[in-house]
Amino acid sequence: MKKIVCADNYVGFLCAVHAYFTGGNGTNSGHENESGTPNGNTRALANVEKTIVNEKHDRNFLDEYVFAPEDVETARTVRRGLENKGGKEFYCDFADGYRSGNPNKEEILLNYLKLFTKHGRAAFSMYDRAEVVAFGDIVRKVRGEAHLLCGFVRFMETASGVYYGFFSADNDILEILTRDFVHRFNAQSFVLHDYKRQKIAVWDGQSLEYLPVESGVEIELSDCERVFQSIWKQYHKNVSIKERANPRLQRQFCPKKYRHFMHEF
Amino acid sequence: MVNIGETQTLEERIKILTEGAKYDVSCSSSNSARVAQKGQLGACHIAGVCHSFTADGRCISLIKLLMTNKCEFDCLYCVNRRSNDTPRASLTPREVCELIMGFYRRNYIEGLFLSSAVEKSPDHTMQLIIQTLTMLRKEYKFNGYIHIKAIPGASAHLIDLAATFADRMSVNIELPSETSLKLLAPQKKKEMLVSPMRQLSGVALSNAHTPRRLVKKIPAGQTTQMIIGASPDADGQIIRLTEALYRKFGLKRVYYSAYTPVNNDSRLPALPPDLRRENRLYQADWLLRFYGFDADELVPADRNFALDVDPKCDWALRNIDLFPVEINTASYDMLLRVPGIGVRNAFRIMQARKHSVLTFDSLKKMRVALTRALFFVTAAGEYRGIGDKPDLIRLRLTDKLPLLQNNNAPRQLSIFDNDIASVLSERNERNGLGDGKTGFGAGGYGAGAPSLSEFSEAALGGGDNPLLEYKADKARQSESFETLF
Repeated sequence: MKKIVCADNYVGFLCAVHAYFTGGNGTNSGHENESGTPNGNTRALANVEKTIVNEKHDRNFLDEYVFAPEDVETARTVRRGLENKGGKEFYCDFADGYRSGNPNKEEILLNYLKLFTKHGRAAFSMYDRAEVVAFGDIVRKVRGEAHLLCGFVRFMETASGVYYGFFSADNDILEILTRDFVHRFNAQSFVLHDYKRQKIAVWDGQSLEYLPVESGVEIELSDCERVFQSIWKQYHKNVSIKERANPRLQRQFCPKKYRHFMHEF
Repeated sequence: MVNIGETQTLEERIKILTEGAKYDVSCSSSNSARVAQKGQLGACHIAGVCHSFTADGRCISLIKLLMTNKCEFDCLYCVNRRSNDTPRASLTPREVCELIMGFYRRNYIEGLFLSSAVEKSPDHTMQLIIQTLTMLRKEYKFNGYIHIKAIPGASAHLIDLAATFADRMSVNIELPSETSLKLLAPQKKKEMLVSPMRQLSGVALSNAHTPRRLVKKIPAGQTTQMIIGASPDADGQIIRLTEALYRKFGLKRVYYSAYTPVNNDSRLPALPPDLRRENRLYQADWLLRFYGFDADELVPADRNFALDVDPKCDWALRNIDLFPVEINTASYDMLLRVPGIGVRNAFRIMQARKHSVLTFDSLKKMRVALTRALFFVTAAGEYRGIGDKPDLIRLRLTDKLPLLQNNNAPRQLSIFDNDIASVLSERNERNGLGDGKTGFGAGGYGAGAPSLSEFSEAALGGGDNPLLEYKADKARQSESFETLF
């Protein structure tokens, strides 16, 4: 089987999608094409079994690997194509699907695209097809986790007045969360830290920036921060009805994996 | 009345006022899509956001607070009743605002749920709430979610003013009949509750004519809450009142709260009700709002819901003659009535069957709850249930008896048939159904049902829509809102 290797980012994946459907980037010749332009014949490849894998994917001796180089213009072309043919909602689903932490997300997205290229928009409602189910699952998990963490992330006031919050998540949802918090706290400066992926989002009330973080973050809390945390913990405890204790239900809605960054637990 | 007064710290007062507010369950933050405004803090998500979950499994979305728990009323069921020897406290509007802003900036909450005991008079209490809201919206520029209680007996103009600042308002009915109200909350009169609800209903309706540039009043509508098990009112009566409230006052939600014994009084039950009653009422509430059911179809007015199966299953078992339905041809309304198929899956089935013939394998992929649905559907003509035997299906659904693969299964059936009467009789007595009947009594909807094979032929052969026939035949015994409450 021929496996198109893509870089571990969204642009790289879109370039691999381009290579897959156009037969470019050496997928028919077995050689890498640095320019990233199509150089093959799609029809000639119709019967060639191939797929897309992440560059971090383990390789074996039996398959043939070709690398799809990153190219922003090629990625834009693919994006425009998907938006034009499937609509913006479809493209948003597709882009959010790539944020999934599922190790096979490239293959799942590719399979869905294959179904889409074959049936057009009718593919969206083929809910009994495995490709649609798998695609729906990863998109739902990404958005579900983003929605949960939109409520679970806790910000702390630092001595400088900037609010700092951190989290770790299964999926790469920093951008989705930041978008939401910018909307909500548009007049409040904050830093949001995804410490699993070592990235931060910085919002100063005017502009937004995403930065990598190589070491830990040191912050100095404001004087009133501990007071608010203490009142919040007390509130969380007191508002529960003791006669109706149900820790199982609590775990179901608020999994333990998220509790380490929530002050009340 | 213990009044610690000025010796209390802020933390102590918040503790007392949280304890007093925790029995109020209506605190979701949905249905308001408040957009962020420049220079203001906050926005609302139309679906609401849960910020934490307490040890009892309930979500914290809004901070639930009382302005004060010093109450002039003496409602028997209430922890804040005047005659209770409990610590009393109050918060000032400024303190409430500082707390809300501090919590919101840290993303602890989505907004505020503000209620109050009736201090001095309903109007005085309502004015305190309005003062707090005005300060929060205008001085602190807070643009998050606000849900407030309309104090029973407050003047109409104060309620109207409060509605301009709030996303949602609610008037708690608490007790579902006038008799219970007289017995357990003698100072509350029916008109004190109905009048503000009627007024808020008009306010919510007027939003349709409000220009887009103007702020809408209570965009998330109004809700109410009823206590289950503090009075002898049956589920049938409660769900009929709920239906009337949705239809007459356009309520967004009705919440149910199983009574928790907090006060000792001979007029109150000593023990709390079975918590499954609350669950069944919520399920039935969903059936009213999203599944096209009427309260009359679900349970008689003087009965409680069966506790062993959910209300939709219970309805399907009483109307087994309408099933099984062929998944590839059934109408959307009928799919919604199949146990195990929800609104999302009904829609997906309608869509997916345009492209291919759906089988049980398809349904499994679509995550239909086949443990319930397989008794009530055929897929491409295949049936995997155990026939039109509601009692046996009920046992299968509740006691997880081994699934019989087909109608020609071994004769364990007859063994169960022999035992079934005694098993059901015992369970029904336990559930208060009496007479060993599983539904509304002898001659229920299941009487004279056609055989499974006859029905399947009709369904697959494109016969008449059984749901339409059922609806046409069913005599409606509608009860007016006024007679219910």
